Amino acid sequence: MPEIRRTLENLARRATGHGSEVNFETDVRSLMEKGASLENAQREVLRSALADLQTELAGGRYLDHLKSPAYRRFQGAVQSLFGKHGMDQLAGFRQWAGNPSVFRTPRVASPNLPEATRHFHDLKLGRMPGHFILSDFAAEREVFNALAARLARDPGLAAATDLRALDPEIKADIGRLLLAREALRRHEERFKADVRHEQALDNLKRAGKETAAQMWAAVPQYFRDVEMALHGNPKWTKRGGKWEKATTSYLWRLTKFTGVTVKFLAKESWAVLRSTPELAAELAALGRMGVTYTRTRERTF
Amino acid sequence: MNQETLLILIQKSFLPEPQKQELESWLNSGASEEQILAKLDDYLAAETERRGESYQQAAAELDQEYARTDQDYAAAKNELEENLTRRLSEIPVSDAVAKDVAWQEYYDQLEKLQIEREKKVKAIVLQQTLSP
Repeated sequence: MPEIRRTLENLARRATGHGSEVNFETDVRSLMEKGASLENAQREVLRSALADLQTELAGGRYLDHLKSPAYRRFQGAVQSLFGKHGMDQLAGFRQWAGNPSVFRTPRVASPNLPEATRHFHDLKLGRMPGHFILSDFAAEREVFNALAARLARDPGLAAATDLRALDPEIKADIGRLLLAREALRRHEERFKADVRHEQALDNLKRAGKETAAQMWAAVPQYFRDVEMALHGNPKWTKRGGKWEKATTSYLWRLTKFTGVTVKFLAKESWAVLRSTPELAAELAALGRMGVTYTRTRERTF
Repeated sequence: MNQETLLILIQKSFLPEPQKQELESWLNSGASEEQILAKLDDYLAAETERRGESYQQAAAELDQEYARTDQDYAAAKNELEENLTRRLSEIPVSDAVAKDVAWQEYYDQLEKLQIEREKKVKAIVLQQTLSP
């Protein structure tokens, strides 16, 4: 029964986004079944995740750590051990990361702006964030890499018999690593939101222009009807490589319509339309009046 | 062309009602087909031109409004960025928490600004839809 209960609980935790924590606990149990103590199993799984993270970073997956499976393992371990379901100490870790008397500022490489630029370029959103965002992104990534390396080889962590009694410096490193990762994620997510915002505005602006163009819709329609009355309803016509179905004109049904008088009527009026090519182009772009219509008009008259 | 055809041409046209009525009364008073078509043609030409001007005016007004909104947004965003840069320069390099808070606040303010901008553009579009 306890096994079933735990399975159900784990399923619920996976469904609510805590799958990496469940994976960590499963790994720990697996080591314990092989004879390790709880403390040793927890430490080894945490260190294994850090080692995998190092391998990923060293293997050229520098840009991929936002989606890194090894980071998810590390995050799962940290959340399970120190998060709300564990010792609930992560807020304290983050505070220590900002305390210069506890946190040992790591020696980091110069921020690699071209790599950061490539990261955002690879998102294929057609835009780039501002330079100050790119700079911070690059800087935080160096901090992330440096701290991941330092934690992986930290003798204090390697020798820890109880993770609850870790040195504050190590806890501060974990806190800073989480902050760096959150900063990277925030920059990326906010950049995507910026792009979505601009796209939404472009759509709104286009809608406004289309509304303004609607007052024009009656003009080309009237002349289209006149033309169809003159030259017949083409039913299906191939224009610009595309087949178009013409609508049935009310004038088309008028059998006594004479070409001479309508030609006189249309010639003068369409000359006015022809005199506003910018407008015709704008309408054409908005799909209110086909370009083919303009061509037909010029050919006919 | 018979009278019925002429009447349809007038009624289905995009002319304002007073001009349609004027043409219809001409038609009923026995004016010749040539006269009515010439008058209709004049009116159509004038109305086409008027609508073209109205459209161009409306489009120009929209462009102006959009440009003004964009300018306001760019200025406010620039101010936010300057504030953030100033604030970050005052935070010690080692204080990651204060830096994190500064960035979070910057992004929160930017989000508010964007929501405000979207509201303004929606209002402009709505006004355009409701205007005659």
